[in-house]
Formats: sequence, C-alpha cells, structure tokens
Amino acid sequence: MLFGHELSDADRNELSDRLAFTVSATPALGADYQVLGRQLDRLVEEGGGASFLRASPAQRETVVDRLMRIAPPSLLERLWAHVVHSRKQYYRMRFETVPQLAWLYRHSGVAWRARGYTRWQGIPGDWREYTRPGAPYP
Amino acid sequence: MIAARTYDLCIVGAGLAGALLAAQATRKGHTVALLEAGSRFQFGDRSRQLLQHQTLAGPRWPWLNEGRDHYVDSSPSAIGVSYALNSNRVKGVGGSTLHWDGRINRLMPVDFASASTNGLGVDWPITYAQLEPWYSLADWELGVSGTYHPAMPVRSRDFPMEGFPMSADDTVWLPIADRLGIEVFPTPWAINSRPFAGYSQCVAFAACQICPSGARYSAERHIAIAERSGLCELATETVARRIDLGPSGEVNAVHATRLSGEGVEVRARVYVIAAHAVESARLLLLSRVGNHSDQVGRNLMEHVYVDRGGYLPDRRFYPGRVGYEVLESLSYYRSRQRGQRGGIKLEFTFDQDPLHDLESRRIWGSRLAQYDRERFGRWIGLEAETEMQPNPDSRVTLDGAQRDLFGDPVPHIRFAFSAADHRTQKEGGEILANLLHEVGAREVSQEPLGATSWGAHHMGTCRMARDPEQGVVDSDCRVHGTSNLYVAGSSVFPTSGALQPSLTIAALSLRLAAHLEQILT
Repeated sequence: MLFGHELSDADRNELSDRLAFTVSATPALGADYQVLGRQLDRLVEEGGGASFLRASPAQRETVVDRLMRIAPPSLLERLWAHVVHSRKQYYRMRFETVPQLAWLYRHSGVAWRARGYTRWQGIPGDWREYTRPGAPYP
Repeated sequence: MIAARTYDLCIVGAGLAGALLAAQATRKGHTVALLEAGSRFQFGDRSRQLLQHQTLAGPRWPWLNEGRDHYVDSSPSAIGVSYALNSNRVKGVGGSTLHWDGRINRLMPVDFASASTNGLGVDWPITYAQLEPWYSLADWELGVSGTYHPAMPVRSRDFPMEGFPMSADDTVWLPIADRLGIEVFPTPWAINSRPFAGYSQCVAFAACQICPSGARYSAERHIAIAERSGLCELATETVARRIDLGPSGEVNAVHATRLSGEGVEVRARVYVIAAHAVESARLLLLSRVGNHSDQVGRNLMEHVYVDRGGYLPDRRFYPGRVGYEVLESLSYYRSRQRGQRGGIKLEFTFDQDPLHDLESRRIWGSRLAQYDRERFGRWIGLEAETEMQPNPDSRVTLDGAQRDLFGDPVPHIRFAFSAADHRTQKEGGEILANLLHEVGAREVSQEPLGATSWGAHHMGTCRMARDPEQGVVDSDCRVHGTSNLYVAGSSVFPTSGALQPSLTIAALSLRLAAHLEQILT
C-alpha cells in the first residue's frame, strides 16, 4: 500500500528498480534509506507494533503522520543537529530523504497508473494521443 | 583546441546565437574559434539524465560550477523577491536551448516601435519588416512547427512544418473565446511535427526540457554543422575573461582561461560576444569596452508570468499527459490606453498536480490519495506572459566584493520594475481571473503579483541603439566605438515584448551572420 493505493507486482518491481538506480547514482542514499527504515520501525515500535513492514495500514498512517509533522528546525536546533549526529539524521530524513522519495514516486509509472494513465513522461509513443480524451481515474 | 593563428571569426558562447553564427560562417568557408564556458553534454546520455531527474529530484542539466557561476543578487531590495539566475540558464554547448520547452514566437511589429505606438519603452533601430526575412529563415533553420493565424505577425514564408493541433483539454476554452471575441490559436513550437533536417518527428517523451529523441531543436544542431565543416574549433570549459581592445577601436584578441587554469588567447578578424545577457555585459564591463555612455548592463529585462488557476469539479482534464498545452492568445497584447501597460500574452495550462508540494498541503497517505482522486485533472490554469519595460535601474554590474574562481568580480544582478510593469502584471492577473470566472472555475487562486514566476528570458544589458549615448551596439549589432566587435543574442534587445525571445535571437543572429559575411569576404 502506498499513497492509498495497493501496489501490484509490476509497481513493486518498478519502484525497486528506481530505488536501485538512485543508489547506483548516489551511493550515500543507500545508507539514508536504511536509516529511514530504522526510523520508521522505531516509530512503530514506540506505538507497540513490531516493525513498519508488519504494521497495519492504520498504524503506518499514524507513523507517517508523526514523521511528516516534524517541524523545520529552529536555528538553535540546527546548531544542535550540527553537533549531534542522530539529530542531523532525524532532520535529513524528514526534509531531504522523504521529499526525494515522494518525488521518485510522483514521477514513476506507479503514480500515473494509479490515475488511469497508460503512458507518462519518458515513455515514447503516439504524439497525437493528447488530442483525444484519456481514461478516467480508476 | 584553439590554435595560435588568426581565425576569421571568434565567438564567445555556444548557445543559440553563437551556434547559428558559427554554422553560417563555416558554410561560407570561414574559420571559427568558438569559446564555451560550459561543458558538452553527450546526446546519448539524455535518457539517463531524465531518469536521474525523475528519481533524484536533481537538475535536468547538471551544468553548475559554483566557483565559475557564482553571482550576487540584490533584486529583493527592488522587487521583494530574489532571482535564481542559475535555475534560469544553462552554460554548456547549446546554451539555454538545452533546457527550453521549445515554445517559439516572433515579436509583434508593434514591439519594434514600442515608444511611438504604445508610449512606453524605446523604438528599435530596425523594424519588424526589416527583420521579417530573417525570422522566416530562422523558422527553417531551427525547424518550427506552426499553423498561421491572422493574429500572428504577417510572414513571407510558411512554417516549415505543420503545427501541433489543440489538445483535448484546450477545447474547453473554444466556446468561451468565441463568446468573448478572443482569438486563440495553437502556439508554434521548435519541435518536429514530422521528420525534419535529419532529426526525428516528436515521439512524445513529454520531457521536452531534455528531449531524448532530439525532435525538439537545440543549438547543438548548428554546432554540429559548424564542427562537421572542419573549420570550427570549439573550446569547451573555456571562460572568456577579457577583450583586448586597441586604441583605434579594433579588438586584438580575446583572453580566456580553461577550467584547468590554462590560459588561451584567441586572435581573429572579427569577434562576437554571444554569452547571454548577464555574461555578455559582464565581459564588456570586465574589459572596460563599450561602456563610454554607461549603458552596458542596464535595462536588464525578463518576462514575469502571472499565474491563476481554478477548480472545475465537473470537468475532466488530462494534465501531464504525453503532449502539449498549445493554446495561446494575443487578444490582450496591447492596452487600449496608450502608455498604460506593456504587452500581455495568454497561455492556457492544466498542469497542477495534487502530489506536488505536499509541504504546503500537509496531507499524506490515504487522505492524499483521496485528495488526488477528487482534484487531479479538475484544475484549469492560465498564465499571462508580461512585458517588462527597459529600466536603467534594472541591471548587471560587477560585484565589488565577491570573486569567481579566476579572481574576477562576479556579476551582480538587480531586477527592478517600473510603474508600468506593475500595471501590466496587475491587469494580466485581472484578465486571467475574469476568464476563469467565465469558464466557471471555483477557488480561483490569487498568488501575489510581481515575479511569481519567470520566463528564464534574460534580455537587454547591451541594447541596440542608433545613438551611442542610448545603447551599446548599433543596428548591425556592432559595439559602438569599435570596428570589429559585435554582440549577439537577447542582450541587444531594446524592449522585451511579451513573447518568447528565441526566434528573435535566431533572426538577429542570421542577420548578423549576413552582415559579417560582407566583411569577411
């Protein structure tokens, strides 16, 4: 389940490929994704769950909501984060890694298929398609 | 590799203007040294570039070199917002045609006589009629797909390719336009609607700012023509830093430095600076050339886009789909009242995406999915491309404190609006809001006026004027007071109009190439 949509095998494969590409292009992202995974697991554990992977959709929503409500750091917090590595990671996950993953999703075929599209940016085809109405939102 | 010999022509800048000049000169058998501060991007890398952009949220064109491209911006003190110069240009072989959409227009005839017809700005020293043959040639050099509409300026030659038809979404505006007496028509594009000049027709990657197919024009096409001749030496990552002007007004050499630190001296019979409005002015200022009347760097112009949009719950559009929003209108181009405001061109869009800008909406998960289902494809947008008047206080100067990696002062930009600019933007917003009301849109957006978004069109700074006291170059684009130094590109525009500048850059460059041919032969 992602952005309220049940993922198909094709969706999972495409997102895996894209994540693998980002790590091959920017190796440091691999470590960031692991840190984010651990951060999500910890938030689930704090709510009494086992892990993010095993959490129910409702538990996941609660965790994501908590993560996304982290406010931008104040000047004092930025200075603190500069010294304390875990705080730096905490903010980087929220304000760099999560937005990058949201961007990756938004530009993937997964997001467009969920809207009923059969083609999207980067997939060539008939240029006259835009002159005809498309398919409705599923 | 630049040789230690005298070339016929030295060009600084391998963007649209420089590429056309190099191609035209080599077609006539002249030797060319072409200096480009940026790198060359390999065509075969574009699919990977697109994937990197789609996954990593990075720039489409990773051209930036912080040490080379640093600048200072004091626009906030004048207009309240900063100007992201490096997001609005590309340094590289092809210049800003690497990242453009390809929307391409001629200026209107009245734009060449803005002072005498509209009571604002200045008149160009040339007329539309004088430039028209070069516009037509430019259409065919770049490959423009268009369908003539009577609202467009008169033309002596048809478009080389048939225009792109309206999108299914565009048709929502037809009854409104009919009722209000507004003329709407599909915009011309520098994108192939059929195979042209050895490049494929559009295959609808819907990624025009990178275009993996090559169907959208890039100045790399004319660089290739120049290089294939064997007469053009292109030096990339080579930054022109000084023009050596002799006391007689003749340029002796251009001095450049490679990013590796190696110095390069180029000698030629004729020199053309085609480095975009900011860097062309900066090079003249660094060299203390052409600035006898304190005009270099002044009258920096851009196109401010005023955006409005609204929610149409009963309609279904298909935003972000493969293809184009092609509709535009010139019906509001000039005000009925002379001297009141500048030009306004309307563009019709549908591209708001609920998954974009999650931070401001602050919803995610299933609520976001629900919001997307309700909102996606039910948003209608309008943009007004607005004219900015030439203003001597809107300018490029050399910064007194900050230096680039070579130790040269960095450019200091400062955009400033006139009262007429504010009126233009305000009326643009009102026109859009009225049209959205007519179409029945709800929740019409009300973004603040003034630089809500920009066209990435840098103009002015080396403007063309008959009187050396009023400009930097004459009507042939020769720098006043010099005998063999020219400026090409949008930096010579005396006014900006409210239309994309690329075709005018191309037309002026082809006209300059013909002028240089007379000198070089």
